[in-house]
Amino acid sequence: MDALILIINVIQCSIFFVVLYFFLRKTFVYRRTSFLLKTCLSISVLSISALLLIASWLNIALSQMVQIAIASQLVYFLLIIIYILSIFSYIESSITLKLIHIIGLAGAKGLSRNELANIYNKEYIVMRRINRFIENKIVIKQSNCYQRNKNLSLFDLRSLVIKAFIFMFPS
Amino acid sequence: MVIEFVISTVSFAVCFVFHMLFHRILLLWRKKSMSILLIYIVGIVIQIVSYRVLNASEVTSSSLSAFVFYLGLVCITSIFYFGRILEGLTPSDKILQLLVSKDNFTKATLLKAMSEHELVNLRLFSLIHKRYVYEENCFYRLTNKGKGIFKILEIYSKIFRIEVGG
Repeated sequence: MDALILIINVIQCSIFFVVLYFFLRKTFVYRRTSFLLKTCLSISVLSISALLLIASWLNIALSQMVQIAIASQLVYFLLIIIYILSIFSYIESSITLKLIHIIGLAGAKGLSRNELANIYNKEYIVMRRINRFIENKIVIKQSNCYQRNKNLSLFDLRSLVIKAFIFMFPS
Repeated sequence: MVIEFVISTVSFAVCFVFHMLFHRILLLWRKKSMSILLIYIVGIVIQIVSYRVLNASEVTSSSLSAFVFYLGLVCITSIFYFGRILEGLTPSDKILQLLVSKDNFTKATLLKAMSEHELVNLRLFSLIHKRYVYEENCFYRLTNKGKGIFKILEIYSKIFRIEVGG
């Protein structure tokens, strides 16, 4: 019974990456983060339901099953958050990685400053971020003007954590 | 099972407090060091000692899960700590700050407020400085170190078939 936590985590993470493998490419580029979070939550809900079913089927004490569910979900969410923060967000939006990728695609011939500026410039970077904000309803576009949506978003949550870190670890 | 997770959380909290203290002490001496994160090894020692005190002779799935949980917390702290020191304000943060500071930003005013030098050039210079990219006859090419990163990015984008970077 004790091994269930690790088994659940391995199954959940495997399902998560299989879903990512098949559906991430089909998801609209600016909605990928929310797709990831929704997938993560759906898998979590499904596994909790499956656990409760198993508990009733095998006559396992509910309190023990609740403990296993909480422990496994804590570890699962932590692993997914680490993936999103340390791999996904960098691959999705890092300017430095994009520069390496563009220069790498040019191969041995290399890329001149002008060619680089034509492919990747300030307008591309800013508009990509603005469009992502609009798609995730963080920014509203009204008659060619951009306004900040007052509703709390996940991006605000990240900013709050960063502010807390700035407070705790001043420079 | 609960006790293992409580031990992990408490040892993380203790290490986090010491991390904060040491960071501030180093700040007084105007020093910045990533090795400060080694403090979290103390947390692992606390966990092992706690299990010894509780007479837990063998490694169970619960203690292993609690250990993974501890490592996860350390990883997230490190991501934010590194990000805080290395990155500062991201372009997305800056755009949102601008939009909060003043209503009715158009595309033109927003583009005017952002600097090409800060967004692209500084990062490119940093890549050259860290020897991921080199410049020869006004052409940028990847060094072997850069090619390694490029290969990893290619593998990732081929697996998930997505575009790299933004």
